[in-house]
Amino acid sequence: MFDLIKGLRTTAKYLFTKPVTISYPEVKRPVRERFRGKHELKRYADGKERCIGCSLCAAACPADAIYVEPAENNPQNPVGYGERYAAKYEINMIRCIYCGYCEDACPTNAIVLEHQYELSFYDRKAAVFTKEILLQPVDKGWGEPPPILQNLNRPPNPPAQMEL
Amino acid sequence: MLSDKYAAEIAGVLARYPIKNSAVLPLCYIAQDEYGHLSIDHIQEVADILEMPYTDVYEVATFYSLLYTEPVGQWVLQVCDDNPCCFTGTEELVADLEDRLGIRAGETTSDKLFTLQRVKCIGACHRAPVMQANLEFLGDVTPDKVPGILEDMVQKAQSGATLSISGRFAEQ
Amino acid sequence: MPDITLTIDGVAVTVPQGTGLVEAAREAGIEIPVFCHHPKLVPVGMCRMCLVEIGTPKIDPATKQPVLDENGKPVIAMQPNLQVACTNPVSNGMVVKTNTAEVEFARKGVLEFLLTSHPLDCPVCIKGGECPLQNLTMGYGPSVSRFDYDDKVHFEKPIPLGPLIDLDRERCILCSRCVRFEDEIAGDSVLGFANRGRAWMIQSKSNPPFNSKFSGNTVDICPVGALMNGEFRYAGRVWEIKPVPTVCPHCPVGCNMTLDMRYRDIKRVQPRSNEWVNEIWLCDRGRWGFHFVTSDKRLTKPLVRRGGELVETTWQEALEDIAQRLHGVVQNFGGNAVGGLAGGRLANEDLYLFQKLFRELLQSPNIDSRNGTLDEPEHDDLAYAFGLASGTDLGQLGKGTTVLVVGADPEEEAPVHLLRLRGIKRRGGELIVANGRPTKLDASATRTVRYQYGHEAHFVLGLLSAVLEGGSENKEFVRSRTKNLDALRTALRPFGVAAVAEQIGVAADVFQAVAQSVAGAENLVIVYGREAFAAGTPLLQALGNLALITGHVGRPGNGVLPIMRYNNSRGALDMGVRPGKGPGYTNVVKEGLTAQQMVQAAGNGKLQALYIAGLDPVAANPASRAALEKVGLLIVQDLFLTPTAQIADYVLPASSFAERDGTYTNAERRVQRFRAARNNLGDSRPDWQIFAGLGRALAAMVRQPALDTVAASAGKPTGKRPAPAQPVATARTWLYRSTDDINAEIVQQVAIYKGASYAQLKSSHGTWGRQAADDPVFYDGTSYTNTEGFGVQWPTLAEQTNVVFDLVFSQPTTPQPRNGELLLVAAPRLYDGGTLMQNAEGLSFWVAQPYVGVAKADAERLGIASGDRLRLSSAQGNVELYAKVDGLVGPGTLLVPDLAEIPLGQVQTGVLTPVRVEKVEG
Repeated sequence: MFDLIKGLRTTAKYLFTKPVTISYPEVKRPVRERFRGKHELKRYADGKERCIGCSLCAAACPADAIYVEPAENNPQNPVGYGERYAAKYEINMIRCIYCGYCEDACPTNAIVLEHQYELSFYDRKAAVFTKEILLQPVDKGWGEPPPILQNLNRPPNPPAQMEL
Repeated sequence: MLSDKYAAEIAGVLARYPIKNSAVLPLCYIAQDEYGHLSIDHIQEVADILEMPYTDVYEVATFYSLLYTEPVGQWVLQVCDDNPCCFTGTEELVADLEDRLGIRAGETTSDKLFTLQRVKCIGACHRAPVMQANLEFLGDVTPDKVPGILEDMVQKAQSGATLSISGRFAEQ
Repeated sequence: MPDITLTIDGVAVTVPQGTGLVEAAREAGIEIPVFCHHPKLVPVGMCRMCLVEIGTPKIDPATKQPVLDENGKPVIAMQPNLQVACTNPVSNGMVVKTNTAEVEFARKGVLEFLLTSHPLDCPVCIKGGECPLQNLTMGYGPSVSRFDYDDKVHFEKPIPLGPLIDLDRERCILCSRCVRFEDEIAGDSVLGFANRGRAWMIQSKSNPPFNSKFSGNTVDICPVGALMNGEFRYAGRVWEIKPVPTVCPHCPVGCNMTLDMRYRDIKRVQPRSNEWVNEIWLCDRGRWGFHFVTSDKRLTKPLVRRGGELVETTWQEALEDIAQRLHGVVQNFGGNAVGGLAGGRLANEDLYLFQKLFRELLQSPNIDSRNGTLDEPEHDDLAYAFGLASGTDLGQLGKGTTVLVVGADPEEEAPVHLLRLRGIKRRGGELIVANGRPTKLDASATRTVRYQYGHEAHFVLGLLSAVLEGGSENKEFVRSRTKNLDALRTALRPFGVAAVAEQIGVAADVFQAVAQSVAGAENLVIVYGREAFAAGTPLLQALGNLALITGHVGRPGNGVLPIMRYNNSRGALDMGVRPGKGPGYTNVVKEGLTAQQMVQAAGNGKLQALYIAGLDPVAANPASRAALEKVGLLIVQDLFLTPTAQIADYVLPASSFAERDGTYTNAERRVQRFRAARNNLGDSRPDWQIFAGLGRALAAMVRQPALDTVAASAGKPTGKRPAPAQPVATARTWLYRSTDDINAEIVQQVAIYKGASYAQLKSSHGTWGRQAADDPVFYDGTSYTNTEGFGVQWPTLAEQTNVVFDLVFSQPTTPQPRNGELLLVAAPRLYDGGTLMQNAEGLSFWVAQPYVGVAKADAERLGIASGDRLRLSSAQGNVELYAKVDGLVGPGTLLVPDLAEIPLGQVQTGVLTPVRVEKVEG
């Protein structure tokens, strides 16, 4: 009998505390600053692509998840700076282990593992994210390289929102 | 053709050296005096006479600042812009020459009389700033001397004297 | 040469005199970093990367003896300044220090200076990952740059140096490796330095630009990413590439190379180091001529003619139908009504099965490896007897060697041989070039002999006379190893030096000098090519006799080197794809039809079935089309729908060299293995699989007794060796699972291939090239790694010391042009625009426009000017070409480049065709 009350006391205590459960997906859980989610291919402030198609990310990738096919920039209408850009850029999200080595390897800070973590697919083929999915729109994703890569001092970002 | 027009001179030059290749510079001078500069065809002509690969003659022609691969005027003014000359006023001299001739360094006047060039040390630092006009050294050239020098040159050119941009006749 | 002992970083090392310090240090396992130095080039000391401290024993000026210290050791006088290691040869007692603080500081300084104008754009640079500058900066350089990118010099880039090579001036460190390669190794002075100081740059001012057949090698030896393979620039990164060892399918040199694969795509072709064959070089056709593999014109499905149209079918149906019909022909008309042509582009395994299929299953002796055009020469048996003896390394021969080149144009026929022959000359050998027209080898020759076309054999017979008249033959060799010398002397009587000299217009003392050089040399290599083959048996016989009477056979460094048409022409003869001889040059009982006779027989309706693999008789001679159309069953097996395939009843799609395993035998009789790099295209199959499939289907039909008689009669070898038991063909014995099975059978059945098993081909005796990818021997950045062995050179007959050779003489004939006729000579061209050059866009620039070269004298006589359209006609037919009046050929001769675009077979009546020339409007 006493034991019952003892047990219920714990129940009663938690009845009045704030619940830890998050009603996902209506509410998104905020992630840590250094959280490594979906990759994004960044741009420069003028809208040019940062990626130069050097394949160093693919070389660094321990899971062999990245495939880059380079092509020559048209000097009249360049996609990015430098002679080369990535004509194809694919990451197999099932293979990816989100280690962030690609970020480290990238000489232009073009690829960044951002906070988007909602990665689910209906089939395996959809898990291969192409450049169109990874590349930020022209009016977004530009500016300075993510500060986490500059002094690991990134201002808090809003939690990831579904945008699919 | 050089080989016809200057047959005797070329034979004389070739006779001076044990191997033909050595005569490349004298022959370049002959070609340059004949044509005014060394274009691809002229270099080819020299290469044919010496039986050298075209590329080798081209290397020589572009190496020396006294061999011109672009057309130049009757007088080629080469102003030294190495350190000692710069300390004593090359920049002012070049600016003055540019003003008077109405051209930039590296260009030729529209009457094809003067070409102005900047060159590296021509080995007369004790007379800096120094200028070389068709292999004639002009030392201590300060801007106030420039009008007189240019006037002399114009007269010489108009008098019909033989001007050798290669300085081939400088010794005479 | 005496050996020198010196000390490098405390390690004593003994090397031959004349060795450079960089190589000596490498012997001791010590790395001296270099940029401009390359072991194949003369050192120049331009980059200053190899600075070391050098000391030599102090010599007492009075006694000229080394000064000794109290311990009795020589006192070392260190030089006050750092010295470059590459240009300093070793000397006795030398002390070298490569790891002192001063040396390290100097290296860091040199690298920092190099990097002041280097853009450091490694992530974009195609050399990144295999770049010596990158590696050495990591190893020895400063860790940070004091220059920002914007501070550095910037130039317009890239500059196309030629149609195949791009130059990035910013990256160039001006080491002159490319310039020196072109000058020293290739002999094409097309690259040079222009300007000086900051404006110094590499330029190619030749017309057309970068006019060299070896331009790709400059990309390999470039220590930075300055010279770039235009096609590879954006094709991927080097670490993503998997090199698959293969052998070049273009010419009979058989250069070792790799197909650099990124997943399923061939991204580039690189040489594999094999000092016996191609050293580390590759010609441009080999490097950029792989695109035919990916041509969309490739056949992917078996085709069968139904209702006049070629329609797709299945392999099973096609093979069974073909087997059925072939079996029917053999039963009704006999084996003689069946013919087979298989070209020298097929691998040895294919060719072996092909002849086995015909000789054993179809009972047909009619097989050949030629197209059946009228200009085709006899098969070459000379190399079987007197070929370059096994153990010959053209890359080692030098002083004491005479090379006699007769009727060959190595630059066009076998480009890498040109480099090797030039190398012999460079090392002090003699190079005598005899031809009817100027070739590029002339520039490197110690002596050039110009004969008139049609008098090739006379020239060599004159040489023979000169040797015999001068009494400089190798008497011991002649006595013990040859017979019938007296008969030869008698036959040579009309061909005395004086008589021949007058007849062919070559001075008599030339004969004496050449004969002296040939007979007096320690080693003699006789190279002959397509123009010599055209002169026929008399010339070849005479060349063989020349090698014999001077005793230059059977020893390493001696023998003949025939340059044949296809990459595996030698293998086709070895495997017995020819009438009259079985595999390994054994005699067969039934003499079959030659290709020419087969085409004739087809026209007469005597040939009921013809199987053509890897050859194209209709393209070679459009006139043979009518004959081939009369054949009841025409089967064509090829990569493309060739003109011959278009009239075939069955067209079988074959795999290219990139999609299959096999071996090729090169001109030096070296058997080399190549590997599959890609999957078969569509339903295409390797040739051997098709033959084996057909063999299985046929073997099931053929009755056993008929086979036994064939097996007993075919392939009876000469000599005392007991005839190896012929396997009786059953469905089972045609069950080849891979080329390994065929190779095992070849090794067992073909005596000369006894040592050419796959295991032995891969073996490596000693050092034969680079076997580890990270070996820094050349500091070149580009991998020459060879994991596939250097192949096996099968021994010639002359190497068996008990064989006695007959000195046979055959009477030379000279084509007699009738009044006003000129002799038509086909000059081989490397860039012929043929099927194997399909899709090779970079190379198409170099394919010449069709023309006919006319001698100046003839042009004046006939009133021809350059640009006139000429009709050349013979009894056979005619062609129309634009004239080019040049001084390349002597009067009475017309020179036509052998291009795929010119249907020469249409006009040729023989090897040298007299033609009438007339101007036409056009």
